[in-house]
Amino acid sequence: MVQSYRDSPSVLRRDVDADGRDLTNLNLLETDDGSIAGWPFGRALDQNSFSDRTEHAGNVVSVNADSFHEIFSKANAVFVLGGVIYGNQPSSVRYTWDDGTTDIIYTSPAGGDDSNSDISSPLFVEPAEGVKKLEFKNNAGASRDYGYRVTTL
Amino acid sequence: MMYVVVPGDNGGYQTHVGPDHVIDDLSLPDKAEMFDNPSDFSNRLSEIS
Repeated sequence: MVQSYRDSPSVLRRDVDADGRDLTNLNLLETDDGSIAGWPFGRALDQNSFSDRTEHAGNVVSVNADSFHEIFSKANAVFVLGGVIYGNQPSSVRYTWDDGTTDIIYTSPAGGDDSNSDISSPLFVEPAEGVKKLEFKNNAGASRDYGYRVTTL
Repeated sequence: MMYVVVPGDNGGYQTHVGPDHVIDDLSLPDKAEMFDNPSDFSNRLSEIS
């Protein structure tokens, strides 16, 4: 339980917990050892980083069956803020890390039918730190056109 | 700020928009087109699509 009080009319309000600890200036991401707990998205846009925001987009990008399409490839790793890929069964987002190794997030279609009776799915690109290359795979079984928008810092 | 267009097939394209030092670090195909001006960038996209 947190209680609030003022030391005097001239002092800012103080928040204390049940044990009397002063929470007034507590950083809620700070752990007991004083370090900052992991923010779930690693980094976020702020006033300082906003100018480094970079957007990678694709409009009606043709991808062959069972092939990966490169969203970006860089010499130096970046932080992937997130993004969306849209089209007929996009899957398998592949992250190439700073050390050259790769990991793939496999997904299954989760969408609806469009006018062509293809299953059109939005695929969320999950935030990741230390990425040099980002790709996704066409899992439709035939050549398809995709759209996407991914932002990095 | 730099604007990159990579023309594709059938009206498709890829784009990269970001600060110069980030764009310079990208691996881009030879057909990539670079623009400093956002209006030139938009005009080029209109031509392609």
